[in-house]
Amino acid sequence: MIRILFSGILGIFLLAIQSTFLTLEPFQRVKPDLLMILVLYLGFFSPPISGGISAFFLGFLTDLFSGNSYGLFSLTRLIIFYGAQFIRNRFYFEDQLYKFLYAFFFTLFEGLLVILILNIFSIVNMEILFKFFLKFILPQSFFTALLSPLGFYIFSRINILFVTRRVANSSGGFSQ
Amino acid sequence: MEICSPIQKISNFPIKITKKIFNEYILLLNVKKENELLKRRILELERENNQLREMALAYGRLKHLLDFKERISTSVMAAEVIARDPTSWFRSITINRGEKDGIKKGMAVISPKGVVGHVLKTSPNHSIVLLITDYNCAIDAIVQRTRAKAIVEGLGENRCQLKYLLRTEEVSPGDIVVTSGLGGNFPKGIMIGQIKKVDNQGHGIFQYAELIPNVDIQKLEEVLVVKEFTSVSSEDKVKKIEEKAKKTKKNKR
Repeated sequence: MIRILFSGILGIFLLAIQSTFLTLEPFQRVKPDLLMILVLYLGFFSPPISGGISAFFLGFLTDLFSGNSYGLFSLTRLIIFYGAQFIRNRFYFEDQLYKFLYAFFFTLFEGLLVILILNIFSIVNMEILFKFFLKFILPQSFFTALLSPLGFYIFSRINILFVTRRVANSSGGFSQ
Repeated sequence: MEICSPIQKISNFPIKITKKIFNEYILLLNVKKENELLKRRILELERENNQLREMALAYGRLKHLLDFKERISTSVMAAEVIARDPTSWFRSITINRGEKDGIKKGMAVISPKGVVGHVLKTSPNHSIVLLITDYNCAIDAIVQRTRAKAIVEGLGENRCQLKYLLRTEEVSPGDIVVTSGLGGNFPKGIMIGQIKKVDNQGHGIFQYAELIPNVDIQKLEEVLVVKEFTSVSSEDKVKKIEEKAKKTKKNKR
């Protein structure tokens, strides 16, 4: 419960930064997806159920504040989370380059997923979506990936400070 | 005199030195403090000046908005833009007015320069506005010069396209596109944008045109939400025009 609550609060804070500060002109095209970094971090370090609920909530938050129908990002973030869970034991995670690649490919994968869903459920022209993908999502993926090692480091520090200790204290033992 | 003067000169020397030291060193300590104070004061005044300049700009914008509000025959509510879309996929803004202020889904959002978009989601105190540049946004429109009907759809960036424009209609770059009033949400005749280029190379029955919105979406700070509007009958329009003409004649006299 602490994990879910904490990732929710952190998600709201990151969303506020993403929808105000990062929408300013210099960042516009390269706006890194901070919530995506958090979802990927959860995918790597959280248990499947509480992490899944957190990822769904973070997706729902994005849905709430963006100009699309409810459910799009709730679904994609959940898929990304379980995708990350699936590969986490097959992946060497200590290297910064791997963190970069990991974030880059997952952000791109989410972009393709969004295109697929939008194409199924709406009448938006695929050509426009692919242009959009190349113009915005590709640079965004790159900058999200570039920021991800720092993001993972900060989230792990916060996790140790606020979540792990409390969980350990409440359960009487250590838990990751 | 000749004997005393050198002695005076010599005795005056320590006085001079003391004065010099006092003026150029001890008093300088105060000057340094004063200098720091003045620098701080300059910074404060600069900040104050910036604030006043910002207030003057806001005053200008709000006055423009108020003038526009009085000019149009609709019930509108001013709102402030507080955030933008957190994703790169969609084009929307969050405004500080919601259901408590009477905002409902589908209401038109405009600015003195033209159409901004429509309300997509509402909460008690805030609303999400889908911008005209979003590819999910479609508005019924007419070309002002030729009265050709079409649908304006967003293209994602700061561009829109004119769709379902019959090939038989004559349109050219520079033509102004306004709302038709047929959708039921937007009052008729609100400026949408200007045609940039026309594409009539295909074989279908429609031609397409690219449109640049008149509103600079990136610089939006305040908007107006159209709560309700009454469509003005042609008789009323004629009366209004006549009244305006009479007023301008009187002013000229």
